[in-house]
Amino acid sequence: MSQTFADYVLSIAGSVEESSEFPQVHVSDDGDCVEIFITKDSYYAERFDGLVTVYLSQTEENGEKRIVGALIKNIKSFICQMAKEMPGFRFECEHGELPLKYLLTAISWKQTERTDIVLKLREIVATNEITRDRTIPSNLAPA
Amino acid sequence: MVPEDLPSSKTYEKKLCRNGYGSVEAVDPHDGKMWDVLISLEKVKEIAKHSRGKTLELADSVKQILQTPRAVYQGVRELSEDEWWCYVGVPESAYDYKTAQKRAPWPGQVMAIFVTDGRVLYNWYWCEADRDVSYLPKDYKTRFRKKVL
Repeated sequence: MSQTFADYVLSIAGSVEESSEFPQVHVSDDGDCVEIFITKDSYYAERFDGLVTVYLSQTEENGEKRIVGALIKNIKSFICQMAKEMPGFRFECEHGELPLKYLLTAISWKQTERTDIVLKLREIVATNEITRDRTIPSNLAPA
Repeated sequence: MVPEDLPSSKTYEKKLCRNGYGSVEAVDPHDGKMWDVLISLEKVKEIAKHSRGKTLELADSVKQILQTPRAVYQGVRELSEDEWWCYVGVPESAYDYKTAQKRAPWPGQVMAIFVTDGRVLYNWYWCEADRDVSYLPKDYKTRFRKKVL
């Protein structure tokens, strides 16, 4: 690549309109993950376990950090595990797609730490019109 | 010195090129010279959609840590990824995602950049620094399989 990396990034960014619409959901095949952003705030990451990293705001509001988003990793193996343990879960993965809100519900069942944060995320995803019907690839073979 | 379980520099390409991906020079943990790390076009577009501030951070701060990290680790235990790389350090600047303003690095934090075993830039974020070693992430002794640089 003859142009600098900064030029490359900025040239691509120049063709994309920055969105003021949040939440945003980004699905990545490279890392088998989904990223959820509730707001545009600057954030830092706190890892809970192999599945969930929560993004918390760099600044405080009323003495508290706000949830900015989350990174959920190893989704394929998690969905397979859930489908094995609870066969009924497979029926939520219609047409190879799993509603994001159901993924978060399932994570809250398995999570041992900070379930409150996962449930808060789930509530936001389930009630916001941008995300309430959002699905992610489940990659499960048909039942 | 090349650790025994890393490939010798003769067995892989320093330069990478893949359709739908751009590349950025980063320190090669095998020999301390440079190699290419890829980033998908789709990822750059998602970052641009998220915010100008995050885009500028990628173009500036992330590049800086990839090229001048304080440490590089292999094997990210928390992600169950034995071969992934994690570049860590404190860049000269951070960017406010809301305002896109350049600012001082977030106090008490370091930047961690995750690169897959296929040398694709997976993600980066700021995280709490270790109490004793301010340029390394908290729990750096247990989070990673080994330090390679």
